[in-house]
Amino acid sequence: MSYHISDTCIGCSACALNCPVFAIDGARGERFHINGKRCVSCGVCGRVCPQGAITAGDGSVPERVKKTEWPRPVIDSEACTACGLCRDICTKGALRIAAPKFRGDIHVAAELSEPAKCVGCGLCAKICPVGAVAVGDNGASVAEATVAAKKRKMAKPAGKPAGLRLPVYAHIDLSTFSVDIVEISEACFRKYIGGKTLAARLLLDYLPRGAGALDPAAVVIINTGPLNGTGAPSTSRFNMTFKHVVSGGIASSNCGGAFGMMLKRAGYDGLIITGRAEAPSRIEITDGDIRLLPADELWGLDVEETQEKLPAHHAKFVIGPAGENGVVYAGVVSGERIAGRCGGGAVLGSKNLKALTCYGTRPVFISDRENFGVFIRRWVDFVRSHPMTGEALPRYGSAGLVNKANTNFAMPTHNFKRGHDAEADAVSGETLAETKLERNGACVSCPIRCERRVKVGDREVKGPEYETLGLFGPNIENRDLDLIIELNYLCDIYGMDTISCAGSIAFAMELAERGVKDFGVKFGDGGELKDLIRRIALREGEAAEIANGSKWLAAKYGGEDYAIHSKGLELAAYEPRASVGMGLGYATSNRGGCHLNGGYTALFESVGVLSIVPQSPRSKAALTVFMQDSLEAVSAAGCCLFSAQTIVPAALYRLGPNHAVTRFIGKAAASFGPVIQLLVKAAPVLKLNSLYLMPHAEALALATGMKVTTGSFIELGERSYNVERLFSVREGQGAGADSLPRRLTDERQRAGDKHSVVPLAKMLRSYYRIRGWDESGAPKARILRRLKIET
Amino acid sequence: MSKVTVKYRSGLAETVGKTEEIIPADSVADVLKYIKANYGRDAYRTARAMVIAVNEVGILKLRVFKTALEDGDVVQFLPIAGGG
Repeated sequence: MSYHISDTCIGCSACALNCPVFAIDGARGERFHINGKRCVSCGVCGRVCPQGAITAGDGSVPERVKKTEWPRPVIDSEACTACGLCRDICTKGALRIAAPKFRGDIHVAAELSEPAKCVGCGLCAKICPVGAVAVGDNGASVAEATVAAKKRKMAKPAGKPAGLRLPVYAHIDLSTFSVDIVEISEACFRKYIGGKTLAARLLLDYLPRGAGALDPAAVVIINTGPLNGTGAPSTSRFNMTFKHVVSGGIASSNCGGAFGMMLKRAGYDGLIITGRAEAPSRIEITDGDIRLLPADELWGLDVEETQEKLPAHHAKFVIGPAGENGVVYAGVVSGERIAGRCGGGAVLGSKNLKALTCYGTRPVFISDRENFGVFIRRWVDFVRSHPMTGEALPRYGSAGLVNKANTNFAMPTHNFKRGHDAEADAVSGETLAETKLERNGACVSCPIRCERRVKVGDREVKGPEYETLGLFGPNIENRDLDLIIELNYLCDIYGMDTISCAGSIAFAMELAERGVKDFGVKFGDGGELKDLIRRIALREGEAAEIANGSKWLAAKYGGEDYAIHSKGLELAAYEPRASVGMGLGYATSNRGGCHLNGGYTALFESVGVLSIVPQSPRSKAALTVFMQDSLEAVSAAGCCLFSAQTIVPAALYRLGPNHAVTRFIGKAAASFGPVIQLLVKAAPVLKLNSLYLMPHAEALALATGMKVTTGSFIELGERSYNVERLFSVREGQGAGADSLPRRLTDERQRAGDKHSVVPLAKMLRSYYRIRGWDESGAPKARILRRLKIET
Repeated sequence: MSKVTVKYRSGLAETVGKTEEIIPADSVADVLKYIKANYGRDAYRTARAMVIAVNEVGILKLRVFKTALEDGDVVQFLPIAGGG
């Protein structure tokens, strides 16, 4: 029950000024009111009211308390993972993540940096998933505050599992501005759970067959997974699904910003957006209420400027100039995180939708909260103790892959002509960490903290990921790390995907090199690039053609053999001729040339600790299917895919890639194909749940109240892959779509190595057979029946 | 013996107290022996478990620890990384 203000209120506004969730409103001198939907019963208003006008939910009247005696959060820096949940929920700005003690210091924690701003609401302690924050008397030690917090918890009866809660979506038609509330049926929820899986199902159901990606009838699903916002590791990732601007098939894009978590707190698990607004508009969601507001003054602004003009305490999801101008690789940005791939920004731009914001304070549903809390602490400990997620990723981020990929000929160089660059170290993760890194950062709720914080001018910004380093580095023959950092920043603020942008530029450079078409850029010359990024985003001059992507350029100027894309989506920075399973993944990926949607088998072939015969097709079809399904399920749950990297045993990292045992496993794994195939087909019989295999399955079971096992979790991924494929087939994707450019399948990467090509045709046959798809890549009726997918 | 340049990265650089040195070695195994003799068993274990490259090519693409070295070769010890 929320608090209440009686008629003895004199309208001094002390309660409203101190309320941490903006739940109190009123005019000075008149009686104030508490928004019951938003009140979190923290008691702050009662402590500051000079009149005793505040009544608690139980009818008691709290006493006024001096500010010096207000409770304060006390943080156990050993237990704290610096995931940022406490900092994010504190609207008073009293908390921050402490600065590192030295460059490369990864052991940082949250701290009460502005005690004068703290109102002692305790929201930070409530949201901390590992119990590292306790609220105690002002000046209490960690131990005292923790004991006090434990006593408070013990006084409450243990909660029983709350059963099942069905996701609630809002269907917003921008043309008429009508809002319908859609409750997902139990059968649908059990089958598709959430995230990109449920979104694909909804897209199939809502999008009229054959509607264009940029038509008013086009549908955009922005949704969360059941684990978003629960405090489980790396669970800020939310999803956006729509029709692919270039391929016309399914498109999905994932983002680590705070929007998804806040959307749940505002009362919705997802949004279904249709129609087209007449003029630039934005959607504002507060406590379940949805409003469409004009956004003329925001149109034309970059994503930083746009977000600064929106309500400070709202989570945001906005497009930049690239989205407004229909750049086919425009993304949508939340904070500094971007749903980059597939052109979602262009789709929102076509709907005149500049921004979405949301704010709410509803608790995120967790069915078995008590056991979930216990499991999350074990999971966080595991993540932090694993050499990959506890050491390698925090220390170097994904940027650390540059040198490893390069040593294995997996670094795309000169528009994927080569797989090795002798000067790649200049743009490596190690060089970045040694010379440019200011500190680590993280998506909210993530204990891995792989983000690189770097400087552009005087400004600290998000640094480049591996993909950006590779594709704005060796792939365009650039070794200027400062320039890559700036290009990354420019793409971010214009709202563009760095992978597709850099890939399209590399193709434009090769067209120029071959004398086909000169766009004013050439390999090894970074002089024009910053301006080119701006011109692409604004579609100025000939740069407007690069804004259409590699597939379009190849259709106009030729060069299909070296236009490095699959289904119109430019390939990520893993050279598939050095990891042929990744080549199969790129080709079969539902959204196109994406390493993650493709199963990311490069991790087991060329860039990880294992090396499963990188240039052999043996077992790669089965491995690709298994990994695609697994990652699909992790994504549907609402987790970052990095949280799945603990699947490789820690012992192998400790032995290292050169150890005889690691090498033996790598070689032997090439014969595991039939076993993996059996695993895929008989997944549901895997009843066990293990922290060491797929911790997401157990977390999902505890969070949703459904029975989820490792087997049913992987089957969820398989269903997801099939329902996405079903959409693409319905929209006209036919035989030949699962392809790679001939450079990768026919041209040897190294002249003397006959295996340095992707044997795609051979792997594709096995892949289709294992998937239960026909020769055109369409799911057969039998597999759809088994997975209970209605057509 | 050939004179080769050895480059240390990550924790290994901290353990051995330098980022680069020139040492005599005819193979990658010789380099590891040198590390063991000069910097101790812990440094040796760390080095063995890292990504090792000769002239920027991973030793798994060559003859692993038996990879022969010549004058002027560069041996790098790189951290294992992750991402996606």
